Amino acid sequence: MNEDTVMMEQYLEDMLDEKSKTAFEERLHTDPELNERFSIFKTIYQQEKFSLRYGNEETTFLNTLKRVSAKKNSVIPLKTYWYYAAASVALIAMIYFVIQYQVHDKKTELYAFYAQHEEINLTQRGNNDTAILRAAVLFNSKKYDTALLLLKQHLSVQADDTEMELAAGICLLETNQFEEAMAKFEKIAAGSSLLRYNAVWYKALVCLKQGKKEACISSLKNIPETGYKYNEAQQLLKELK
Amino acid sequence: MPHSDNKYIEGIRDNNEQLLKEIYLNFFGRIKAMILANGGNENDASDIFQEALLAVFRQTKHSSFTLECPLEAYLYIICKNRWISFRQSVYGSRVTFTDTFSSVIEQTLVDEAEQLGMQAGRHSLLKKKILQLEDGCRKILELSWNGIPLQKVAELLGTTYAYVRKRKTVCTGKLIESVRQSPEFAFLKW
Repeated sequence: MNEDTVMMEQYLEDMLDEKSKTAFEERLHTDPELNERFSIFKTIYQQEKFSLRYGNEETTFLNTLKRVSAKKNSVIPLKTYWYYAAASVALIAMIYFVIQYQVHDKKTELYAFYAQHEEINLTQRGNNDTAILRAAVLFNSKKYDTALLLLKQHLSVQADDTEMELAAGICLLETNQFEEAMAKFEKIAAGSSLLRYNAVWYKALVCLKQGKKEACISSLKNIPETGYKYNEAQQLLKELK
Repeated sequence: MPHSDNKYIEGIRDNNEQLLKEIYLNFFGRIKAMILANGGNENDASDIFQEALLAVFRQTKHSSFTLECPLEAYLYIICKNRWISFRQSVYGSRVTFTDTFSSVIEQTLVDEAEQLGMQAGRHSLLKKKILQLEDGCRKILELSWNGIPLQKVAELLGTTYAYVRKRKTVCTGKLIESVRQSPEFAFLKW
């Protein structure tokens, strides 16, 4: 099968001599299975070629679509709004009680509830490095380990990009690389960036995911009233006591 | 003869935010209604509409694409085709469909739009199957799918170009088999 895959690529790249090309085309006519596999391969090949050439534009385009299609742009009638607001409160209350009385693996339930990561938004950053654009799309699609590869590469040339460092920390957390994640969040939390309390919240989440209750509580208590996710921190503190 | 909606094609090609907003404002509603009337939800409608716009975006890069019919009708056919083949893959070929919109446009344009709908479905299935591969294969194919050159993939994974090239061949073979075995495959007219 590997030989066939190689041949398919060589065929599409026009790298086969006439004899091999004719033989391959003959096989495509007589072997329906090969024909199917080739059709699928062609789609993959064409997408990769397209992305190599237009990937940056495509990523920018997708980012724009996400922005213009965001739900906050739609106008909801007031009556419907209150209905959904009430339904949301009821749902949150229901989740709260389900979590409260869950006997097993409470930390997993809590983590799933509280680990709601904001999407990376690059609109404030002006002209963007293409690697960052792709990292953002992958991160926002929750493809954390692939996003991490691109973020690490970016940080190797731009170590002072705190926003991307935080995103890398989140990727590490989501892929259970706790020590590395904690190191990133501690560095940001100890600094003077606007994201330092985001980092404190994430320190708490690292501990939460590992079931380190006391360490989690300690981090949560360090978030001031004006800090990132203060309300959620208070709610989580109540659940952990 | 270009249609007056061709300005939207230029807007898609040039990533014009204002025109893209107009597209959502003017055309999303009808397509959402079609999907909701046929077993889908808001998220489905949102995803399908985005896929359709991406399909048109790709067209604008291939050749001097000119729209010769209303954009709404064009997008509607792309989305309808995409949604029908998805429903069929889940519920079988006899699934019924409620059409909420009709427009008289040339058959060649209908065929073209249906093809784009199929293509959107194929891409969606491929992306889904890439995610289901084991880690090593998934990373290589995901990065390649997103346009990262193989040399750079090798750097990112901390390995050699030769290794990644070999792995990619094997992984692509696995991906192809996975797609062929899937229930959706039959309905995507590959």
